[in-house]
Amino acid sequence: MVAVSRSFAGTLLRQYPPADILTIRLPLAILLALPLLAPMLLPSTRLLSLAITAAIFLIVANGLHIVFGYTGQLSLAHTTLWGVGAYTAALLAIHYGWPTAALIPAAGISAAIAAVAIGIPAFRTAGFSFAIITFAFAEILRTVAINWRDLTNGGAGLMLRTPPTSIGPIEFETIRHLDNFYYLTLAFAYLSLAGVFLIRQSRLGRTFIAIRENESLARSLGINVYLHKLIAFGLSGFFAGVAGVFLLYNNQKIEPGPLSPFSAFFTIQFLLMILIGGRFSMLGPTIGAVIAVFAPEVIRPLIGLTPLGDLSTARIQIIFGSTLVLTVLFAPNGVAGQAKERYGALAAALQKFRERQGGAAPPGAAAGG
Amino acid sequence: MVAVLTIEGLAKSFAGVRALDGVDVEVHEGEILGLVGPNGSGKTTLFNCVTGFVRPTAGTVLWKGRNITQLAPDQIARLGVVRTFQQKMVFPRATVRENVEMAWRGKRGGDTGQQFKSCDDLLDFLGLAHLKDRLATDIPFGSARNLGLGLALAANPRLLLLDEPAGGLNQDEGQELADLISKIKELGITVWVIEHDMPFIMSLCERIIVLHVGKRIAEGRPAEVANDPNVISVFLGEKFAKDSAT
Repeated sequence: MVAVSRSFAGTLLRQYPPADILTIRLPLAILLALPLLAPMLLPSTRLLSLAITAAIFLIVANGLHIVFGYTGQLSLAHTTLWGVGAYTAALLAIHYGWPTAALIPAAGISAAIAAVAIGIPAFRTAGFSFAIITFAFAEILRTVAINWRDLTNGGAGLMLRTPPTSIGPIEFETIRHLDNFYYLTLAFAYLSLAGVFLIRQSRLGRTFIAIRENESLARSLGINVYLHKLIAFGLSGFFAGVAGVFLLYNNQKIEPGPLSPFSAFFTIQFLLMILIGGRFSMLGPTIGAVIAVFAPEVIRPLIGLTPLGDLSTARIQIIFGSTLVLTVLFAPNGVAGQAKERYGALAAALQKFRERQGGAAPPGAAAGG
Repeated sequence: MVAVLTIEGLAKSFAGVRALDGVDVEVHEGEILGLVGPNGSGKTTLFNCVTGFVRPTAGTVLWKGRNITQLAPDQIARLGVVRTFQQKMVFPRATVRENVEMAWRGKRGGDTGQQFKSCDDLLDFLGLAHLKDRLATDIPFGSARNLGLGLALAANPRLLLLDEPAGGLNQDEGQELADLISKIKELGITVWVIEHDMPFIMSLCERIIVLHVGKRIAEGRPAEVANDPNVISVFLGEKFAKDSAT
């Protein structure tokens, strides 16, 4: 964890050489470690449940980030892959009694396979055609989930009547051991973050970004664009599938209804998270997922004080939508993009101030290459 | 002279308009070959057909004896035929060094390996080392042009196709670019270059091909081509047309 957060800061440092290392490395490490204390800090089980939801969303959003943020492909089938993971886990748990430790890779792999299967025809096209085709596949899978009753139990969905099995001596039963379940989900949220970080640092990640930035140029340099899009989509599907297991455990069921991963509502929600968090930043999806889950909690009581009175969840969406419009207009690179800009400006101002005071270290010295 | 690239009877029509009309070209190993012609003569289309970005209607392209006419752009690039673009020539939201890393292809087997030891070595060669941590979108136009050239070099080419590399450069920048292209040739990389700037191409190239409405109308050393009656009529004709219009 510490090593990873240090490298996060290291990446930021290389991009924005700061006047003082402590101004970013320490706060970032604290911020990233903060969720570890959530069970102690959060006053109610309800808020801990929300933290679990945020951790699950974060895994899904980080997966979407690989194909949408890095590779630049607008996939509208991503949450469907989340659902594929949840259904896979449900079927294996209900019919074959698979344990938690086996469900996680199985769900990840099944969603990755589904992603590649969708990607093979869909990546024959690009841009909006690609988005529409992925949307069509999402609708097909939703229809299958509703109508293949023998397998999926139709619109009623699959109920999980057993709690998550323990891994070793650690219990994850979600009523008596919610803390443990939270930590398990959080561990995978951290892993997903480490995953997008490692991908970004690798040759594979650079290739994804080359495709996003200029597809023709990438091809002219010998990059197999089609193959790398498929790899990005497969990886993003794996993340979504793993998150599907936690979704299933958290809800104790999976169904293809209007508030399930199969709904267009959720798909749009995740794209918004990345746009609000920052689609060109590694931490963008994380920030977006946390905002999406906790912002309504902050906004609702505030609105309650105004003449508007109590707002339902649906009306909170109106505020969420307005936030998106404002983000696109005033902070097109999202919260993370804004923070980087502000931080860069702050570092530059600090540097100037020190130079005026005389005897300041040169700006590159602190970064150390 | 060994022909590394052989183009035979290459033709391309766009909605009935013949952009290329049976073009034959041989590119010799180790030379700098020029490709000139008035606007719309099919120069870029020819490059697009060779590098797989456009499927020719007829004709064949042979690279070292292998038929590459139906291959995809990335396959052709991996065989060592790499082109540059007139516009959108870099990856904008990445640093200069990341740009080169994205394009980098390591050593190939045998004696035809990557000419540069590392990405930093290549950035030094291009004179871009001082800009390596800047975003590609933030660097001056001349530097972006050099970076575009650098991306193609990072992809480990044996034949480099340059599409109007001197366009938009001033006299001094043009001279620097010509020097850079000569150095690339000295590395053992064959160069084929499209250019409008006649003094630039006359001084740089050993051989020039002239294209006019999709047909090759002349080929030879710069002095020969400059005195070719067909070439004079095409270029002077264009000039006279312009003069009488103003």
